[in-house]
Amino acid sequence: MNFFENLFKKTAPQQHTIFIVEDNEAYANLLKEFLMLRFPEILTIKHFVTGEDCLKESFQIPTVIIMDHLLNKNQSNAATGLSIIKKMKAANSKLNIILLSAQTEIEVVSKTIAKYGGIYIPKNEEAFNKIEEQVKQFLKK
Amino acid sequence: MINTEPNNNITIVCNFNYLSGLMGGKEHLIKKIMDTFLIQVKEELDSLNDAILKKDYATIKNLAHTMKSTVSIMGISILHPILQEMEELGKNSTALERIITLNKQLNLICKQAFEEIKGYSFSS
Repeated sequence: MNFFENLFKKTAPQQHTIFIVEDNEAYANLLKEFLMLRFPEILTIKHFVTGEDCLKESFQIPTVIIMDHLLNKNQSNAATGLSIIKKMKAANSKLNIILLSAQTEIEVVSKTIAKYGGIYIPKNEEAFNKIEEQVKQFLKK
Repeated sequence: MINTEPNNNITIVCNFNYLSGLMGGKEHLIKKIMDTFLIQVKEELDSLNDAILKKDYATIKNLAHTMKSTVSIMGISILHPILQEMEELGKNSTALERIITLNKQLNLICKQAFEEIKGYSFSS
């Protein structure tokens, strides 16, 4: 690393980006506004309707990806969040990923996401508080 | 602060405290989310009604699942068991008559929710 690269690394604040993958527009908007309020230091929050769209841009290495599990509201053949996470983690195991789901029978999915180093958060009244806590942890890294 | 006073003695179905809390009570953000909600739920109800007419159980299941998250934004907890049952019946591709009954309840409660959202006011 040369002098200027070293200087830049020491002085430039890390630019945080969050990806939201959610086919429910109202829920995605709410989550985006919530994160912008709670984390003003976040530079960019990008919203994707399908996991496939997010996968195309995951090379950008966001600070955290928050992904819904079922993403087939608009595209019946859209891949599940879990299958997209498997692909992302295979490409970059260090990606920070949170999987959301409103499903009641989610035990298998939650165990699988843990195996891949992701975090599962059920979509209930506590979801946003839990997301906030997790994002705080990821920003500290 | 939100006005949650009962309207014409009808049971209130929305609980705006959740939304207001998440948005830090900021009026413009609450309004923005409400506007998106009103448009989206109307579209979802239309799609659901259409799917029921077509006996399209897969779409019924998917829409009922999506709407569970959507209605939670406005704290319409009364709809959760209705949508859960619709999702399960859709998944099992069965009991269309029951789905129709549940859908009537869903539409009535959403209609009331729309009135509450449109009548939503901030106290100064």
